[in-house]
Amino acid sequence: MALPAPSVLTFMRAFLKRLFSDRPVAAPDPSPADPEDIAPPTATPPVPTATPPVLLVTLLEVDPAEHVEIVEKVFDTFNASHKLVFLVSTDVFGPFLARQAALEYFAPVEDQVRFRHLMDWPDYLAEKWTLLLLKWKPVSVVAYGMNVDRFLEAARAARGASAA
Amino acid sequence: MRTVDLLFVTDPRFEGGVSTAVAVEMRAAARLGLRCGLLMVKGPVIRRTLASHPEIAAAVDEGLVQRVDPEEAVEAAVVLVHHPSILTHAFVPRPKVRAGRLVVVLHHPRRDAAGRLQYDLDAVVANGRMAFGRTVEIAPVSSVVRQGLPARPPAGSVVMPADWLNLIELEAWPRRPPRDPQAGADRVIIGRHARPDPKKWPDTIEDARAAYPTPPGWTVRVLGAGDFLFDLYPERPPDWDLVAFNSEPVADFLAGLDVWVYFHSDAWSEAFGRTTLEAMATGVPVILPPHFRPLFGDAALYCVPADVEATVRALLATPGAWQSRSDAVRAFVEETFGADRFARRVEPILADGRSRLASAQSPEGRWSGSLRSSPSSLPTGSPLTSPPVLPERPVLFLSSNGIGVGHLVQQMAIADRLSPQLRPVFATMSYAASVVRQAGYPTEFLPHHRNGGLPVPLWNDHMAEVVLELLIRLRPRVVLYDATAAFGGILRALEVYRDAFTIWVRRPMWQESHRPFLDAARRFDAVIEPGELAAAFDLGPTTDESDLVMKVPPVLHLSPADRLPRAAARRDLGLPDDATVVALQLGGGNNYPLAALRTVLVEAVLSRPDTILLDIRSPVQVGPEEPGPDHPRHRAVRLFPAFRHSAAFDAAILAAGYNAFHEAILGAIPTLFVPNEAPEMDLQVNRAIWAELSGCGLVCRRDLHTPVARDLVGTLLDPAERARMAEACRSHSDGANGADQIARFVEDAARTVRADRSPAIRI
Repeated sequence: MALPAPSVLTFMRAFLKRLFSDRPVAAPDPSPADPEDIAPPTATPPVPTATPPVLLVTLLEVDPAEHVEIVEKVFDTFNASHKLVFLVSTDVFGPFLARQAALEYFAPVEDQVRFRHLMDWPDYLAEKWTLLLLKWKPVSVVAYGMNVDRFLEAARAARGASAA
Repeated sequence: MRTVDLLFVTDPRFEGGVSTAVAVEMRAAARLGLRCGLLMVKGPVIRRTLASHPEIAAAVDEGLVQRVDPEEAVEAAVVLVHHPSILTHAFVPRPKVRAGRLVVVLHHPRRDAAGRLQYDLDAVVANGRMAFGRTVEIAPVSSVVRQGLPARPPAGSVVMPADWLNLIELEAWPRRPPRDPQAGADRVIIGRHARPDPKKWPDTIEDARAAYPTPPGWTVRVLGAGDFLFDLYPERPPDWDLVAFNSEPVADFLAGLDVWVYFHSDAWSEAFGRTTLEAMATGVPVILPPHFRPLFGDAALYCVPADVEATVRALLATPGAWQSRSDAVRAFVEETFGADRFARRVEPILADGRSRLASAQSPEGRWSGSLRSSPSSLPTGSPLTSPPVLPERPVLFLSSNGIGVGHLVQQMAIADRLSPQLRPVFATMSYAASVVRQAGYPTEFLPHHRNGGLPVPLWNDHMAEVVLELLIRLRPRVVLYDATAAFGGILRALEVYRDAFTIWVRRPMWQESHRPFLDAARRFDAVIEPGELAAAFDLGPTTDESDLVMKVPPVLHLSPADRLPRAAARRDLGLPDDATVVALQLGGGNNYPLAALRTVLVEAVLSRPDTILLDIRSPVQVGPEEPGPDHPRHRAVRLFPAFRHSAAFDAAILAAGYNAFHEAILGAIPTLFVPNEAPEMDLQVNRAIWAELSGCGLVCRRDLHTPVARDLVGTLLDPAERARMAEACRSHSDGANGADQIARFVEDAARTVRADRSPAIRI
């Protein structure tokens, strides 16, 4: 999948940087000292200096019953050579955390439709997707189930159908 | 478009006479049958976190006045802006108010006694016109304020001919009992009441001693004392009876006084002196500095501080003098400041305002379209009989924490209590996001920096961008942030967005290592601290800044009364009625291994033949599947919220996290607390120690008590000990849930206009 045009992000980053470049004291970045902000047992250790290339695996609208099998397969195939990041549309994170996987989340289409009056979720998630690509700079994106474009199209279609 | 007769515009957080005076007007207006709205403003004066004044909150709750949304279109015959300071900056957003007339009540002199400017009247007028598009009618509350006005009012304003005197409801101030005519001046109680501010006191200890003398038999009572007095007067006379502000009903306080004496700093210019008015209403003779004469005339006695004692003695030594003076002050208040004067004051203004609204578009009016309401639908003086439905607004709940649900549970406690017009949306770093989603709330998951191991600065940059994207689409009115760590990325996003009232809900009991986060408090609009029963044992950094935060009672997701009855809870859980049920929930333990101690505790409970151990596991699985219990009376269950079923428990063995601890104590559950003492945790150990020392529970520290853990379980299972603990717990429950107060605060914040800062952007 091609990376999106960087114009919006470039602008956004420049905007934020400019706004805060002269701020004398920013709030401290989080230290490990945060009650109830405990590192979970499956937390991924900090990225070492020589980080492996990132493989971003999307499991959008994939039946949760298949998650364990997919995670196992992906790990068996790519874990030795890649850092794995999973983009999911489920909040049942157990199978991913059990393998110390990095997680990203898109609200499922059902929720986007249910809460469509609050905001334009597909528009937000499209922007979030762009930001995720900048965050992780994946060398590849592997899609199980819908890819991101189809997921967003489906969300827009469901939203439109519901509104109609 | 909503129509009202009077639209009150004020900062409802003013602590002193301003809010009291406004509330009197609200009640008086309601008695007249007027429709009244309230546009709340966050002004620049009050920087610490304060809730609305209780009298204004009561007027809202009783339906005497109804909140107006900042973006709601409203027609008001008269807009009544109380206090000039709230017009220091332009209103954001600009109110959609079509006003007949615009009155700005000056509750404060333009300059203090030292000549320092207190507010810029030109800016006040300009911002009033900018917000409401009308000529500003300046209404000073007293001759003191009027005398400080410039010879020519600012362009676009006029000065009203009569002072807008503070009014008082006599029925709220019953007369003090008559003084024994024979009492003389041997035993005298002098009193004063003011908000805690050094400017409200004489500048020197000599003047203070003279104004508030304590010869033998005399007492000075001070309502509104505080630590500031010790700084101002390191050698204050010991006989003064110091009472904290708001800690005693004012009417009761005044009823116990013989004489009221009020002297303040030479640098202070008292605009009105409402507390003096209240003393007079109670029938207490008052002694004041001479500059109050234009306001209180011959009803008060006037002298300099050095003459106070002699003035008091003269008043009390002359038979009948005290009673005559008492009668005179009460009559003076009734005649000059009685709340019934409100009708005479506002009716002509209202009539004119209605007329202006009904007539053709005023040349000044900014509404170019024709009126959508016909003259017959204009304000008529009919009170609203049901609360208006305010527009729906999103409220964003942002939270940290990894495997736990603590912050989420606290936020759900607040969200569950919001009105239907406020729509909670959650964005959390917790792996337990499903708990919120299953409760029916829209939920976004934003992984913590530890998930994925991205370098923290990069993660913060990403977080700033994602959160900003969320904010600019959701456009929440209020953002509640619940975490100890104030992440830079989130703060940046909130500051760029600017359109939300930001609230940091910050629990106490921090370890010293959390101190760097304290400064983040200044980057939120409000900081609220949920109550902590073990506060006396809190030695953490937040105690240094406790004056800046709003403290509320302990926050519980479910109140104890919301729990299932014991029989129903046991039935739900499949527990027999006759078993001794012990709940066990020690938390993740990954940062503070408890396996060995846990084994001892489990064996100790199960060694008793009548026990069932209910092993309550996290509502979400975040790691490998935990092995199931291997004892028939050891049952594992995923239960959320477990507190709903807690009436089924005879005892509990719990970590001492905030939620579990307060649920246990306020739910009167005899508990053995096993604190997580990892360095990154809050001061759980002090909660556990407090519980034991207050008789509410027992403490079992891993590194100190494992050898006696069996004995501790034995104590926990002793019915007499459990009864004793439950009884001690009940003494701490007053039924108040801090979540109700926070929800109330959010309701106000969501309907608040910002005027506390310049809207101009500095780049």
